[in-house]
Amino acid sequence: MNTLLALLKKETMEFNRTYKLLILFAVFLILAILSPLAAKFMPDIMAQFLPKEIAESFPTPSALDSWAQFFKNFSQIGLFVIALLFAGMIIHERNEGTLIILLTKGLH
Amino acid sequence: MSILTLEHLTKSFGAHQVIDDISYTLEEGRIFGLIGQNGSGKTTLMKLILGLLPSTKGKIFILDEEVSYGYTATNRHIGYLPDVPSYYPYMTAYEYLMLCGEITGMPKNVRKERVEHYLHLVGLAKNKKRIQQFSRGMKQRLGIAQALINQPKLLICDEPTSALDPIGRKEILDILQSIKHETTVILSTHILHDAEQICDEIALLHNGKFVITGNLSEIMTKHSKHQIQVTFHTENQACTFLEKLPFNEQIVHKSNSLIIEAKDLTHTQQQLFSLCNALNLYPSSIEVVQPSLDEIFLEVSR
Repeated sequence: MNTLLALLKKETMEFNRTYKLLILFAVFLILAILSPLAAKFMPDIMAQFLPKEIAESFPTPSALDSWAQFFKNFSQIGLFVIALLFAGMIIHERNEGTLIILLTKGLH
Repeated sequence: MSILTLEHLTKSFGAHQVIDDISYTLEEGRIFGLIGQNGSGKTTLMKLILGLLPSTKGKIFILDEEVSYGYTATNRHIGYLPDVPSYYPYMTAYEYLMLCGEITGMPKNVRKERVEHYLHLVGLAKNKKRIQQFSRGMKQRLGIAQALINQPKLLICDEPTSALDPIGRKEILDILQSIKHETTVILSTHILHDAEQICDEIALLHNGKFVITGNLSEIMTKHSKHQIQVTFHTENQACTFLEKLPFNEQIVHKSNSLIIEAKDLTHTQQQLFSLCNALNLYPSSIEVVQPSLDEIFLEVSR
């Protein structure tokens, strides 16, 4: 339990100091800005290349649409970024050799 | 009490046998030098002791407790300094040692005290820089602090001085010397000079076996050939002296000095001195040459 806590602390520090937190934050910020914009302009974009009747049948975008848009991006791109950021965690420790010292300190 | 016992330890990687049936017992409170060429199996032996590699045959005991691969409870007695220690570059030395202490399971107040003590011991106490800015020497010193943080009974250092400049080497050796009364040290090296300086006991690892083991001075006496070096002021004098030498022992002539291999040291010395008198030719120095560990090492590895 104590080791888990220690390692969690270490991971948080790593996350913070190697700018991974910043990357994650930036990705989500971009998604958050893009989503409402995409929802707002979607009918206009569609109108550009769809017949007039069909384009007019689209409902006016609401706040809910923008949230749905964000939620969709979140589960796709957001999760993808998280996976990328955390994927190397253990193999990195092993390759760099940083794990050896911790192993001899009683980590198992 | 013996801190480390190896019983018929064997390790092979495929067909290549790195450690070949080694049995050895190391007593507490000594500095043990493990000497061998690159690739002779020093690191492998250390990893076996740490339970980081499975042995092919044989057993290892630390304070009568058997080392098992994978679940390494015996490591609570051991501090390990890898040959190239790698740390988390974004931490400071203090943070790193605190992490090590926490993983060892020390309560917070004890941890703080020990981290400060060992940082002071290795001379990094005032350093607030992150590890990525550390020099090799500083990293090596941090490595020692890290290895000592759980106050181990056995400290294993894998080539702690190999990559350092003379000052860095001296610092490391001084630290190791200063902790001698607290912990047994196993030190691997191919720099024989370092071993000569601080080790009480050495083992020469060659072709998977300990070819020479024991007390350093004993080894020196056992393997010493009595050599006397006579140095003259000029080369001419050396030549004259060489012509008149009455005995036919092996003599090496190097510019203005002669190295004479003596079977009987006292007898040869007497002869030399009387010859000096007879020729009225006085050398600038006469000394008995001790073979260095290097020479013994080379002779054995041949």
